[in-house]
Amino acid sequence: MRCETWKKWVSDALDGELAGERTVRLDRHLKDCAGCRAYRESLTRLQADAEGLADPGLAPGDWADFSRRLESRLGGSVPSREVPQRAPFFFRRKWVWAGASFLVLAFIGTYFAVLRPRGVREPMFVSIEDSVARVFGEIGSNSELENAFNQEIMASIAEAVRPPEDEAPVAFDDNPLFWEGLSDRELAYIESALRKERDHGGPS
Amino acid sequence: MDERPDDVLVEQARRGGVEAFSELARRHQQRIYRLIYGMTRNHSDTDDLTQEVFLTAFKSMPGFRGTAGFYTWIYRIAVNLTLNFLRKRGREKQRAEYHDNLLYGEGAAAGLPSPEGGPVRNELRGRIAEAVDSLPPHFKASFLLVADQGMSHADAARVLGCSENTVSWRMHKARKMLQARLKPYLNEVGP
Repeated sequence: MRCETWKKWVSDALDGELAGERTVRLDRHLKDCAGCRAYRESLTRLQADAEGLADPGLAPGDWADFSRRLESRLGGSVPSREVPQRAPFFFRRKWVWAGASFLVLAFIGTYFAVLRPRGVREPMFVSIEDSVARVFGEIGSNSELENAFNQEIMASIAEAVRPPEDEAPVAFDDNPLFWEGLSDRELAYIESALRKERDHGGPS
Repeated sequence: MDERPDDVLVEQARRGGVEAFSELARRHQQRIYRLIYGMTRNHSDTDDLTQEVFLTAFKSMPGFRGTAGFYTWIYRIAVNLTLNFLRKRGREKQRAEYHDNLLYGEGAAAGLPSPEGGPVRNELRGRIAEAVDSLPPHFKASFLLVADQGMSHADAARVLGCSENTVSWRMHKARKMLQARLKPYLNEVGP
């Protein structure tokens, strides 16, 4: 046990508040601990020197005078004869507060449910048609913007109708794979056909 | 000498009996005065406060239910009134010290003088009184009730409205504070 606890026991012992078994343990500790022993000695000395410290040192005549003055003041002082009566049940403070709270809540509820003025509500969702019409209206009101818009639209249309480049007609003999896929016999046939055609004045 | 027990006098005083209450006041006034004097160290304040304690008690007598003894009840009124008074006086004292410091510089309201120069035993009591006076109000009240008035921790706890353990700790702390503050003087005087 720490000396702090033993010192508290010393204080309790000085007040006569330490139980028997603890007194024995404290005595045993004090035999071994010089610090706690010195502490007890200083407290004992302090206690002895503080004896009668609060004695006001008044003479009997002073007490008699004090009593006389008190009695004269008591005579002029009337005790509150009635013990304060409790208010009737529903007028007690807690019920008054509960009632007031209920009335406030009821008023707020009624206001939102019935009395609150209802203005024209803005629709929360706008249809696509309405939003497009609004955009067109904005564009139509500005000629410069309208021209730019029309140009953009026309360019988009032209791009949409132009056939993609990979769909343009391609001569099959331009494709090198075509020639690579032919057999020697087929190549010889084509060669003879071309020679014959040249001999007859066809395209070279 | 009035032989009526406290209970009878209390009952009569509750019905507005000034004479019965005066007798009760006569029986307890010295101890109440002593307690308040121990806390204020001033006769004028003590006189006013003690009168105030009994007047307050007399006015509140019809509401006194007797669950605590009259003795405990009147002590509790005394402690509460005195603590309130000390709190108020402490604020005023702090204000005065602040103004003193402004006027005369720091240290104008210094505490205890140095022990150098040897205070002797007859001076030690004055030092103890000053040291007790410097205790925090609740510690001072506990110390005076137990060490000076000889109350048990249980009785002091009832008066102070706290637990016995709290009184025990306050006594321990108060003694440690006093011992620390008075150590130079206690060593000097010797056993």
